[in-house]
Amino acid sequence: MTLDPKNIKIHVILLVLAGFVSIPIVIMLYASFRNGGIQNYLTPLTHSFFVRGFLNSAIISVPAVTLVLFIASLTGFALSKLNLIGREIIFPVFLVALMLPVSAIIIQLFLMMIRLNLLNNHLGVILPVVSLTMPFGLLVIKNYMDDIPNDIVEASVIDGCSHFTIYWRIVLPLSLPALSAVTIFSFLNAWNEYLLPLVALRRTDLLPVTRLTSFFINQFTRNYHMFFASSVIIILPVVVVYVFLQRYFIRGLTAGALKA
Amino acid sequence: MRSSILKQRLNNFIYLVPFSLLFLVFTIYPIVNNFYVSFFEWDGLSPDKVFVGLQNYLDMFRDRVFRIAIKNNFLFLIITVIVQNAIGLTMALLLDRKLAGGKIYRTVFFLPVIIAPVIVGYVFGRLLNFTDGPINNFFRFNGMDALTVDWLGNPDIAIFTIIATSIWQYSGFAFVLYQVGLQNIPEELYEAATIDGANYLQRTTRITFPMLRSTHFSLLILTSIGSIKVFDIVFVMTGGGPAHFSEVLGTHLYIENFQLNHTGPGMLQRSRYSCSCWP
Repeated sequence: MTLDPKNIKIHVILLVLAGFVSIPIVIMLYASFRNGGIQNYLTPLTHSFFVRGFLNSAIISVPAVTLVLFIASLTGFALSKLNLIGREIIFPVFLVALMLPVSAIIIQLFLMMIRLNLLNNHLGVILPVVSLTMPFGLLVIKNYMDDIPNDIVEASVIDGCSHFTIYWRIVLPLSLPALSAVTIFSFLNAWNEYLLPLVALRRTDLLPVTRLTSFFINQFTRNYHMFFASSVIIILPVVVVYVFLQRYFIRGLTAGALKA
Repeated sequence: MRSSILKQRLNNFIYLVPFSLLFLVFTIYPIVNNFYVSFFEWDGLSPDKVFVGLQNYLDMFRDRVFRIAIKNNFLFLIITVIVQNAIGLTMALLLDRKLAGGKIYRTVFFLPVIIAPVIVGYVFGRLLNFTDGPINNFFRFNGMDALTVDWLGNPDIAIFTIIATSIWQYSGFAFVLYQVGLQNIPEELYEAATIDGANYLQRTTRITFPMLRSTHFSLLILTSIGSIKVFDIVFVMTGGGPAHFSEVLGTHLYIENFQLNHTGPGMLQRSRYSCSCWP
């Protein structure tokens, strides 16, 4: 596509907007390479806490996403395709937590973690994250499953399939677009979560990436170049995935919002 | 036969068990218990609680910081709902045509949305540092000392700096929703309007804007929820300071409970807070 002279004015406004959005990122990148160059990156990357942090984030995110997918799809299937008494009431009740901020119940969760012995345990982050993310997953997946014709389910019942087989072999594969949207949404939620790990995880070897920058500010006081470099390292994996799977990211984050 | 149908129907409820369990333990129980303990004076751990009725609620409204936090959440809500969505709509309208580099603009605009808010908070806190942050340094080196502002240290400005940072991060989300909304407006409407002699401005205000009603509504709800939920970005940028002037409900609760140990009133705020989140 060539530059259309008619669109010059539009490009000017867009460039200004793009400038506002990208300047902070550009300064961050620029500053991260000053006073030490690539060394600013190598020091945190070879630091055991940093490697540990990525591992911890994965230990939290992967099970969280898997659980959200499984639980939300199972519940969505039951509420959309099975003969359940009162499902019109159950569905909105299950969505109550859609608007619940973590900070509103954080002390209760904290006291619960003490009692269940989940402090300094990744499960203490995973379970609340799953609980607070699964309503969104349910909303997206159930709405999607509603569009799958009931005939398919009925035909399979006549063929002698059990409900679980229908869920696992027929409805789940047909819901792939909704599942991929929920995967991305719940992954971002789990990967970017800050408050729960702040409260639940006190041992430095358990911290996820969102808690690493603060560590680097303390550790390398005044070495802000290294601080920026470590921020870039933390952001980079998500950004790379985003650039490749852009379509799915956007679909994932907008899916529930538009059908709600 | 009848009993087997009944059994089948009960069996179907098994599918709801995992969701219900997590929902009860990690959502319903905390909310209900929050509300219950809000009527007691309690440190959160010791076995004895003292019933104090509505005392915690009265203390809460007398608390200066709580009032600041409410005010800031409200400011956050009003400003982000208007500014963030206006920016997002502008982006979407500008990109609603075939344009060289359109894909690049779209990628850039949405990029901040996926960055962890806590990282955004740290990085902006650093960029906006009064004494040696790159932004103020830029003004100083170019002889524009008048423009150097104590972005996060000035009690009158700090909360607005934080709101602006949040808008920077989430305008791309409004942009994406508006983009989808624009695609759903039938082309014929514009064609008819153009034949009737409507110019671009008229088409935008008379057709586009009203036709996006459901998107406006979704964004109104989502932005409001986001403003009530805000925590990470405030916590890492100012920690609620200076002198609590940028405090929001989330940070106030956290600081009261995890840094100061005033569990009684803090507890209650939480229960009030969790109630206030459902319109």
